[in-house]
Amino acid sequence: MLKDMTLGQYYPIDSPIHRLDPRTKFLMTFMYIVLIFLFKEFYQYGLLLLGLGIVVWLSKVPQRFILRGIKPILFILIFAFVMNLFLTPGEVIWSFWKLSITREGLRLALLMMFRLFLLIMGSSLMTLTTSPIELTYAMEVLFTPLKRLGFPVHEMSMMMGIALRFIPTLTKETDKIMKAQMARGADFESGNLLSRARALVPILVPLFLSSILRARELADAMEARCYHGGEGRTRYRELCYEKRDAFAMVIFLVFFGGILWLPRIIA
Amino acid sequence: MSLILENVSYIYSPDSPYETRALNDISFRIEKGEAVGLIGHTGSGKSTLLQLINGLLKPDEGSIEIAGYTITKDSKNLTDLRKEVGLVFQYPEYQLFEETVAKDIAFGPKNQGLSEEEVNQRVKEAMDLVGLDESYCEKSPFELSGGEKRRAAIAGVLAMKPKILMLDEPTAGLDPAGREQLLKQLMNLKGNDMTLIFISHSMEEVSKIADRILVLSAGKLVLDKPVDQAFEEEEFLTSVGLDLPVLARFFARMREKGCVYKSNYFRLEDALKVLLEGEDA
Repeated sequence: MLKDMTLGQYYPIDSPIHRLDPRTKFLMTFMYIVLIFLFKEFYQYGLLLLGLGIVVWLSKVPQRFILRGIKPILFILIFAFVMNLFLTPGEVIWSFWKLSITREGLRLALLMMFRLFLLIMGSSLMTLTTSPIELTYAMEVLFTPLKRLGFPVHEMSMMMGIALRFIPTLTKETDKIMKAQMARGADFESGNLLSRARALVPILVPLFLSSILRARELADAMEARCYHGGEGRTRYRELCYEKRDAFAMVIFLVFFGGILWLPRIIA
Repeated sequence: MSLILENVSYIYSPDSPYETRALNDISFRIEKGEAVGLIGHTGSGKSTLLQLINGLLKPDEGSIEIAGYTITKDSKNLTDLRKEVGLVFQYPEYQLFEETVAKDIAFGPKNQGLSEEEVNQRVKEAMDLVGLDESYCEKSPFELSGGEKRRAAIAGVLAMKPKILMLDEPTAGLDPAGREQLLKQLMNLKGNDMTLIFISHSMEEVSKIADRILVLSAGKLVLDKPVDQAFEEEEFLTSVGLDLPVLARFFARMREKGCVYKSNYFRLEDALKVLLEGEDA
C-alpha cells in the first residue's frame, strides 16, 4: 500500500555511486538543488537530464524504482504546472472562457515542472545510494563548524538518523494497522473527503500511540547503554575522502560550470 | 463451506533487490468446523498465507476459493469476503482506537452496515464469547490489562460473525493466566462450529486446539496431517526446526528405549489412561 515511497529509501547494492563518500554526495546534491533553480533555458535542463541519466545508470538502481518516487508528488507537480500555466500574466496565446494561457505562463509552467522533477529525482538518487547512517554522519561532519555558534549539531543529526531509521518501521506499522482495520471492514478508498478523513482515525490513533511507546522505549534503551549526547563520542567507522571523490567532484563542477556558461557562449 | 487453495504463490516486492517468494505453490483444502494449526519458522510465510485468505493480499499465481468467492491476481472488491473470513492480526491490541471497549468492538459490525440494535446485540455476543462482562463496555480499551485488551480485540473480529476465524499467534506475549483463558475460549469457539485457522509457535498449544497441522517451511507446504499422525513424524519436524509437545516427546523416547506404546500420545488424558490403566489404544 505504501510501498511506492522511494524518497528516503535506500537501495542496497554496490555501485560507483554507492561507494562515493556520503559527504561528497551530500555536497553535490546540495549544489545540484541550488543550481537547478539558476538555469533558465530548456536545453540546459535537457543536458542536466542527460547527466542525471548517466548517474542513474552508474548507480545501477533500476529506473523504474527511481521513477516510482514521483508518484507521491505527482499531484503537486500537476498543481504547480496548472497554476503557473493559467496565472502568469503576459502575451496570450490561447484563451477559453475566463482562463487564458500566456506564452510566459507555458514557459514558466514547463520550467517549474522540470525543476521539481529534477529536484525529486536528484534527492531520491542520493538517499537511494546512501544509507541513512552514512547520510546523517555526513551531515554531522559537514555541519560541525556550526557548533561554535551553539547549534546542537550532534543532537540534530541523531534525531535525523532516528527519524530516517524509523521511516520503514512506521511504514510497515501503518500498513499493518490499515490491513487490520480493513479486515474489520474499514474502507479507505471510497466516500467524500470528510468521510475519508474520518476513516483515518482508526489508523492514526493506534499509530500515534505505538510511536510514543516506541520513542519512550528507544530513549530508555539508549540511556541504558550510556548514551549522553555527542560530547567525547567517537565513531566505529571514520569517514575518509578517496581519490574517486575528488574525481567525481571535478566532473560535477566541470559539468555544471559548462551548463551554466553555455548560454553566454551561445550568445 | 470449505476453503480451497490451488497452487497459490505470492511474491513480496517484485522487481526490487528485496524480492522474495513468500509462498510457493501452496494447495490445500479446509472443511467447515476444522481447527487447523499453522506452524513454521519466522519468515516461512504463515502470516502472508492468512492475509491471502482474507483478501488483503492477492496471490500472484493460483487461486483461493471461499464461500463462493474466488480470489486470484485480478480480484477486486473483496470487502464482502471479509464478512465470511475474520482475521485477528498479531498483537491485535494495537489496533484498538475507540474511546470505549463497546465502541471499538462495534467498529466491524458498523462497517457491515447493520442496524444499531443488531450491532449492540453482536457486541454483547462477542464480549460473551471472549469472556468480557458488561462492566467492560464503558471502559477505555487503554486501561485494560494485556490479556483483556487482546480479548477485546478478538471480540472486535468475532462481532462480524465470520464463518472462518484466523488468528496470527493469538497468545504471543500474554502471561500464563491470560494464555490459558484465551485458549479455553478458542476451544469454545471450536465447539461453536466455527472454522479456526491459527498460527502458533507453541506445539503445546497446537496439540491442545488443532485437529490438523499444516507446516510451512521457506514458503512451501511441507506437512499436512491430522495432529496425532503429525506427532509421529518427529524426525521430519525436527528437520524443519520444530519439535513435539513435551508429552509426545516423552512417549517417543520411551518407545526408543523399547517400550511398546502404539503412539506418541500428546493429550494428558490419553497419557494417563495408558500409563495408569495400561490401556494402549
